[in-house]
Amino acid sequence: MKLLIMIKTLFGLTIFTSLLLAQQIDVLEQTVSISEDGSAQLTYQVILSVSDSLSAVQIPAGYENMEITSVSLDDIDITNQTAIIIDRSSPVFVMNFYKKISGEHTISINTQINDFLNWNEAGPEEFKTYNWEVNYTNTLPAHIGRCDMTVILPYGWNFHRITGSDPKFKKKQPKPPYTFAKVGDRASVSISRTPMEYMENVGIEFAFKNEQKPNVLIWVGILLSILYLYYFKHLILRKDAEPLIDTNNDKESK
Amino acid sequence: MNAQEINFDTNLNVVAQRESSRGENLTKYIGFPLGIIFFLILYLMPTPDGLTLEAQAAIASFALALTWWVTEPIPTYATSLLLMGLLTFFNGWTEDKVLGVFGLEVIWLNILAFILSSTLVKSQLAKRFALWIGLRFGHSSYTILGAFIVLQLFLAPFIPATTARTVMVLPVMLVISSIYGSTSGNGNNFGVNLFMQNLQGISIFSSGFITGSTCNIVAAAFIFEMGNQKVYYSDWMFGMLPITIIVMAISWWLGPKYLFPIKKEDQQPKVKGGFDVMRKMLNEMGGFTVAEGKSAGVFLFVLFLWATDRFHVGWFGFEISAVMAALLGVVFVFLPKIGLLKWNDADIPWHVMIFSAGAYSGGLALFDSGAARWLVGSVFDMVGLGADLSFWTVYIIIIAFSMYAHLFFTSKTMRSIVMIPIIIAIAQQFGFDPVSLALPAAFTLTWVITLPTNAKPNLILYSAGQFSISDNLKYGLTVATIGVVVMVIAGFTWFRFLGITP
Repeated sequence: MKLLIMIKTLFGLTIFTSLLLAQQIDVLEQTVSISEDGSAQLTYQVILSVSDSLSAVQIPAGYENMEITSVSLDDIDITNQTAIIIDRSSPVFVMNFYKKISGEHTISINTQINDFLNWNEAGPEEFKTYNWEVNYTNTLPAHIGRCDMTVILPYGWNFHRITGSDPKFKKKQPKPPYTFAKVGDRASVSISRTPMEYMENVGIEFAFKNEQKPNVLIWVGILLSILYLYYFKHLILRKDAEPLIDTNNDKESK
Repeated sequence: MNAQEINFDTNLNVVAQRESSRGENLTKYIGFPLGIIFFLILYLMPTPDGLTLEAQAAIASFALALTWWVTEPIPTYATSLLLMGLLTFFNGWTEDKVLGVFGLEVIWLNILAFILSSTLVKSQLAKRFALWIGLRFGHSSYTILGAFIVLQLFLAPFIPATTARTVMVLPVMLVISSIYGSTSGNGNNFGVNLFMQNLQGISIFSSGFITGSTCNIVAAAFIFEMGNQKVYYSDWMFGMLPITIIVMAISWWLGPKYLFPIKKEDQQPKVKGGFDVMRKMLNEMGGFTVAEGKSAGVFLFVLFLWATDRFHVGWFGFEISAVMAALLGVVFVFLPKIGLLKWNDADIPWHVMIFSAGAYSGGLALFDSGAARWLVGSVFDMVGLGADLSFWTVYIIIIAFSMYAHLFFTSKTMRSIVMIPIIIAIAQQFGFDPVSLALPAAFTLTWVITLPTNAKPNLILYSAGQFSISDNLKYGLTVATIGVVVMVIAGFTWFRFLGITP
């Protein structure tokens, strides 16, 4: 019996590996758009090369608790043919095709996670900052040509500080591996890994906070300025009794 | 002639009090609200694309501090403390990092260097050397100023540590300026010229040698790694040393003549009895004392360790850093019986240490938060380096930017790490030889001559109270601008002859 299970497992692994070898992810762009209610829309844009004719392809999903909203293969809707399965304890998108595919294809996956950001777990910490991290691991034993990840914050929130990244930002590097940008009116950060090998990670760990700044600072600034200008008005009042020095060059004229 | 006694005590721990001119008072008066306005605008404006909130807070806090350091509505050390507070309150940098700046190598090196400098004063070695140099070159202010520039030129290749060079000459400069009637808080333009020219000499001559500063070595490494071209010691020296000599010669002539004119009576020593008294004083000192010998010995020992750092691992199995070398010297000078100093003899300007800590925390916050990198990128974008420009337009913009960038980015090495790769990338994008832009830009990295906060030597010299921040700004900006002009002319001529520029 044991021998039968071993043979079955080996047979399964062989088929799985051959399937992976036949598919090659050239580019994977993941966008994580976080909403203020803690949910997130995750999109995956994948450019895939298929060397043999395949009836199914797999793409690392990163999360189990996601709902698939829509999936398309070269703009053809394949939502009903897509599922998330757990393969060796990692969630994976599996797309089954009625007709075998080969060559280069673009797959677009839109998903939703309702409890992506747990605000209570994230903060608030000092200065009303919140900490969170987003990671994506290549759980398929094949390399990905390039993996980009973009994290978009809720409207009105911005990155306070990047506390960690994968690939890491080494001190002597001229540029960090991540870049900031605005997507519409929302703050985003992008990080990339080229190529991404099996079990390699792309991730970003950040502190973020509400962009709203207290207007009371303006009143404090005005008040302090008025107080200074009043108490130090002698600095500009001419005193006839004391000789005044016009420039630094006259110091020795004293 | 207003003759006076020579002051051989440095008293750096006493904050210099000096009457402000009417213009300075007006600047102070305007400076306070101006700093607040800059802060509010920069902090409250919508966060620019590509910047984090932390970086924005760091820029706003630094802008306020920079305005107040220059205009001085409150003492500079108080501004530094406020900057450390602002960075913490507005989360521009974390509190532990802000407070940790006081434990940085740069602060320790300053403290230890001041203690070593005190041994030169206490042992009277500084007095002897000052009297000798005064008698030898002091017959006119121009010759004595020139002698110090030549001294800095001579020291630069042998002692790469700029702090070491500063500490060596500071006690002598204090005595010489006293001989010419310029004392802390009661200075004249001789003191301003002497201190400013030494400040410039220390920084500018460091650009004459690839080993003159770590930032030069880092820049050469980037040119090799990214531009695939090796810059040799001789390439650097032949390229830049003549430029440094020309600029310092212009500064030597320009300062006392136009920027800070020395009155005729101040051009001669103001010592009661003149040179005869100085000669008599030197004779009365007799031969070298044991204390002077010890002081010189300790200094030479520390200098030896500073100059031979690259061989330490081979000799000892570990490297003795600049701070640890100074620390060893200081341990010796404090030893009972055989040492030279008691704690009360150590003349440490703590107000300058506080000022330095604030300045470094601001600079490091700018770098750590990514604000410095963003500012560099934004300036290059703003001046339109993405457009189709000729080599010489790009060259002039890059030289000017790299020359003045030290106003905002305090660390030379960090500037080297941030700017040189960007410049190489620009050169490659335009199809120019990376060396033609990156090497001339690297030549200007050590020209940190505009503010006391720009570099350690500047802070040490500022502590002497012989010049104000506005004096530094005026002289520094003038010489930096002359530097840009000379570098541009060199680009067309000398660098072209050497094959650096096309």
